[in-house]
Amino acid sequence: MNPRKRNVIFMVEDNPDDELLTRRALKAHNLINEIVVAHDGQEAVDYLSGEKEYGNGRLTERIAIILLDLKLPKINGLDVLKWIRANSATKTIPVIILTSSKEESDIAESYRSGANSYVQKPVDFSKFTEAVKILGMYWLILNEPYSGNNQ
Amino acid sequence: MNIDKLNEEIASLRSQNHDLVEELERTNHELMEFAVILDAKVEEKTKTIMEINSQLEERVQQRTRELEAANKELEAFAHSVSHDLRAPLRAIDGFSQAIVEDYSDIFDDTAKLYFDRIRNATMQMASLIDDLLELSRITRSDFSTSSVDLAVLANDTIRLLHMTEPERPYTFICPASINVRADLGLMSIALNNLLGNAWKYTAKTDRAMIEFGFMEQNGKPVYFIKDNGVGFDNKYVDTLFQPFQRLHPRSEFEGTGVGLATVVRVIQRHNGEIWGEGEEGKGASFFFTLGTRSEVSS
Repeated sequence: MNPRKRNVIFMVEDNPDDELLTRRALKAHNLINEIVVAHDGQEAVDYLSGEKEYGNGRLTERIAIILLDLKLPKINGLDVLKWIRANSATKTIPVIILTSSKEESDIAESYRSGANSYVQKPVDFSKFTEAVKILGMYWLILNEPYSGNNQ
Repeated sequence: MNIDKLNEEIASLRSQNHDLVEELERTNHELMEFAVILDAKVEEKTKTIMEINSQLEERVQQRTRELEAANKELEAFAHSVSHDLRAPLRAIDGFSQAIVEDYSDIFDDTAKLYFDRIRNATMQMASLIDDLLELSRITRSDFSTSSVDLAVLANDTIRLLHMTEPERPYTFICPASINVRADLGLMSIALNNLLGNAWKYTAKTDRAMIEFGFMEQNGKPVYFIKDNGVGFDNKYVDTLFQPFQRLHPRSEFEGTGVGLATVVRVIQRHNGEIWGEGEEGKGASFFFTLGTRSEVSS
């Protein structure tokens, strides 16, 4: 399987403003991957387990990176992360925690649960755009994903 | 001697004796009654004391529970402040920038200036939130001391400050090493704030000079940070250490007024003291100690 077929950004974000701003930042840097958004932790798990239809093949085989917020309705981000790491179809997908929190306990718990990266969303939109650009450059272009089908 | 008189006297003595015995018995009886009352009173008081004691213990336990709950609440509050307050700010900043970028042709300079004001205010609130969070983090964080070289920390801080304004000439005076026992993370936050202030308030000084060092006072080491910047009037020295107190308008010097309050908490956690001296236009000096547990060598 061609690793570059993994070109979907799976974003788990309940705040529509942050969703729109992230989309805008990705577009600004021509990181025009397909973006699939889950708006709470349950929807994220439903998408990843295949319970929720994605409509363009198996979503878990298409995801390049997961952008995961921590504070989410229904199932919180850390539990979604643990679910991702516990399931064979998703456990090697890079997960980037993208959150408002800079609390030490959140950072520690995220890495312990298998996050690949932890980024605090800056309030300054220029810095936010810059952060998304760097993330996109690294994880979508520079980083070589595991090309297996995770099964 | 007259026998009759003698007998009479004996009889009188006997009667007196009898009276005395009777009185003694009465007193004795009264005393015993007193003793019984006293016993009862002591018992009553003991009971009261025990009751108060157990109430006190209960109250201490209750207060401890309340304190623990309050701490937890504070933790949750800090958490939601960092998360919930930042998100709308990011939206305000993001979308006002998006408007400026996408619709620049329909806005005149005044409108753009207003957007700049919105963005500046947003950034200011963001740094306020960050500073407040740091302040609360300092009180909640674990405290563990190790051998720390304050001179290394200070030099690192100055290097980072210089990187933000590489063109700015300055002189930094500092001994080769200042070894103390302290909490590394907390001391680095304190020096960041103190040296950051020195750096900030010497921005308009021709030959900016910042000094970090220590001296002996009453046989104890006192650490100091001196600068030759704008300084301050000594009569405001106490308000300086309160959170949100600023002596300069924001247009002259940036800041939230939380920095020195943060330093105070760090020093307090080290059982130390902090004080300052200033003169308008001449500079400021801040002195601190690190309690009895710290030692110094250089």
